[in-house]
Amino acid sequence: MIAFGQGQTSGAPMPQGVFDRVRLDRSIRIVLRGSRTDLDVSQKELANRIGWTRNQIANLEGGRRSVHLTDFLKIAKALNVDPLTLLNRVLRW
Amino acid sequence: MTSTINMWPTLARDFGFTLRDFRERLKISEDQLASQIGLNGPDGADAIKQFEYGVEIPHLNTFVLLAQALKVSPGALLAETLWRSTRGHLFDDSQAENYWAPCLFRLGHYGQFGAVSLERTALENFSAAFNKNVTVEYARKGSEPHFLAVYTQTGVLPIDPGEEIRQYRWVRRDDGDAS
Repeated sequence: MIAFGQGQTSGAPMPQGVFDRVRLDRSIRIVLRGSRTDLDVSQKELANRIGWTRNQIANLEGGRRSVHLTDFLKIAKALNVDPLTLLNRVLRW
Repeated sequence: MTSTINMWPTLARDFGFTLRDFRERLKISEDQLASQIGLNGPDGADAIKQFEYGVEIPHLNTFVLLAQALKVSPGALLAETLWRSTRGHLFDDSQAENYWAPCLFRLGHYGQFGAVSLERTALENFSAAFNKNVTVEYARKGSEPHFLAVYTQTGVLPIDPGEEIRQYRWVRRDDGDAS
């Protein structure tokens, strides 16, 4: 069966609630960090995969750097996670 | 809020097209969209224009707020953007099939070959992914289902007909013209 819209790892509808910038910033950081650690990927390894330094990853996860859409997609690809699935996690957090 | 990109111009361009499509469908100005995400004044409208022209792409939190202001799920906005970009170099074919516009092609494809049960399952999945706001109209051409249109709460899905899709007869809800 083909999965639609959210990749093949999630069949739940995408949340469509009310979001605010502060909450989103926090959710994004937490989900990105959690997704990385769940896959047992170190900050250094992730940094190598996307051509960053470990400090850049640490700054992003620590809230000292905002997550650009391109950062998000790069990280999703580096972690081999469908970006829609990852976004769904952010919105549900 | 934004940063200029020089790495993925394809993504910037495709996000810009998508953003403009959704905004124009809602019939709101750049000013109105900007104010809805908390960017007031001329700088706000300029920021929206920068996105739409593919000069800049947003941070993820702004992206989600834009989707909210456009009354679409963030997933739909991302999926549409990525689908356009799958025609470029961003993702490979195995990922492309997860996104919605190729799924529409697949619905049509299965319909053309008369796999009605599979078509129904696919449609249910598709509707679930988009909060059940999707309806599909189709007729039969001989013994084969023949798709006419796919609608969401905001209108006809923003199909960018590729060569494969052109073989199907898509119509618009407002004027009924075949395209």
